[in-house]
Amino acid sequence: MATAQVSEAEKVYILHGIRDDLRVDGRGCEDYRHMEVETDVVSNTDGSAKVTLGHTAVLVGVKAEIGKPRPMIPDEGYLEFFVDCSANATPEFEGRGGEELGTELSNTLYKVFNNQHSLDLRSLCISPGEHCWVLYVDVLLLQCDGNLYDAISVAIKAALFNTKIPKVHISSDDEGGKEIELSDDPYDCMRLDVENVPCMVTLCKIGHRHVVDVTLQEKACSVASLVISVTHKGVITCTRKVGRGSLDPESICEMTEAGKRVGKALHSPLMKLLQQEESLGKKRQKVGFLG
Amino acid sequence: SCSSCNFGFLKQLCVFLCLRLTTDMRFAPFSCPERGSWIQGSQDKDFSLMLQESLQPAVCLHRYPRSQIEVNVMVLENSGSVLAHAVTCASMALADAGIEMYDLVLGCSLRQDGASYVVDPTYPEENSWKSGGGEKRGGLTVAFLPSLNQVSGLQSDGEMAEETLTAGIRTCIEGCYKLYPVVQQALMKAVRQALVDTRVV
Repeated sequence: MATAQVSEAEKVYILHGIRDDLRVDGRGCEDYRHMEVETDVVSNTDGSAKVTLGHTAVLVGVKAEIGKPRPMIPDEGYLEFFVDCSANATPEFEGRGGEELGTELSNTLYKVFNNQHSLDLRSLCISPGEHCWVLYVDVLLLQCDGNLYDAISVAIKAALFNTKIPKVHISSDDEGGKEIELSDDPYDCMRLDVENVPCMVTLCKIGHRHVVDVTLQEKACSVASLVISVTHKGVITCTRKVGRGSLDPESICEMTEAGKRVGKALHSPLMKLLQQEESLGKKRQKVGFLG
Repeated sequence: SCSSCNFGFLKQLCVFLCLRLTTDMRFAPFSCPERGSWIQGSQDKDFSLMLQESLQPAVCLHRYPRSQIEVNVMVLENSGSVLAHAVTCASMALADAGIEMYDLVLGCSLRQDGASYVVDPTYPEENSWKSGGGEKRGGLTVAFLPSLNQVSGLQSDGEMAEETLTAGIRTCIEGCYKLYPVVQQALMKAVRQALVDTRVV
């Protein structure tokens, strides 16, 4: 993970501030930085989103391809995640430096979506046992300033909301096999219900308090964090302790409760924003990468 | 030094050679019901990372400046709860080698299915998804330092309410407390045996 060098005096300063619920940039312990979400930024994908959280920037592209369903679950499609930590984000990711972090992030994403309700995978089935939609979710880290999990999960939710999967028509051809036809009409597509897609919240233990949305400087003062993925109903789909230190069981209970509260509160403003952006349609001014 | 653990049908071999604690966890191709490959997949790398995060808080790394402690775990037979047992096995190996530690790290996992749960699930119990579940279905693994009362590793998936998760963590911690005396006795037996061997020689 990208790290910032912080002196002992700075660490003490940050610790004392957090003890009094006042962080270096004036936020409270459970406040997020300014977040910007924009969908449909890459035209070659079936769905895309870019999220900027403070100085952290993440780009997610979703491509839907027709593939064979998993042998154990023939009537569902599936998702494949890949996280690329590019050297653009920070020089530490040059060469194979970002591979470990990328593996950790993508494995956590698999766990987050490893349940029945996050996404309706049955709607991705075309013909059971033979064809299904596979959604390749590719995450690209553009800039790294802490709190990658949260930014990535919001970007994935926005990209899945934006995803338009073309409708298919199955017909039997002359030899008795099945032929799949994709609809030519760009507006004849299937959308995904992202209501239950969870959002991740990272809580860092700094001193005796836990802090949401840490910057790299604050992360240098913490030894352990807890990443929790929460749906809009407050159901926890994945937790993971990250970092070289250890946590008290009581701290874990407090952090889980705070994470659930913060995570639940993320969903409704995000959905409102996405629906608002969608309703603007062609009139929307695209900011893209130069904004 | 080397330690091998048998937990029912789960067999693991933990070898370690003598600041930095690196871990590597591999599965033999014949260890799981489906044949795996010798090349480490991304899931294996993730297990290695979680193992490292679980062991690091317990080892007194400051006592070994300018050295690297390497922990290698090879799973010979996987019959469930593999990460929890890898953590226990690795910390026994570290203790057997005489590496200074603050405490032993014990792992315990749990599988929640509806209103009932099982501690230390077997491979079939881990991988069965009963259809039509409610909101309480998932797996949880905890790595715990009993005498310091610190959780050094935590990992969960599935869907659980917050109360279920915290109750599950408490259950896993109790499981670790139950395992503690067994591990301690095994280590003491090994030390006594080593003393007897040196006296005979």
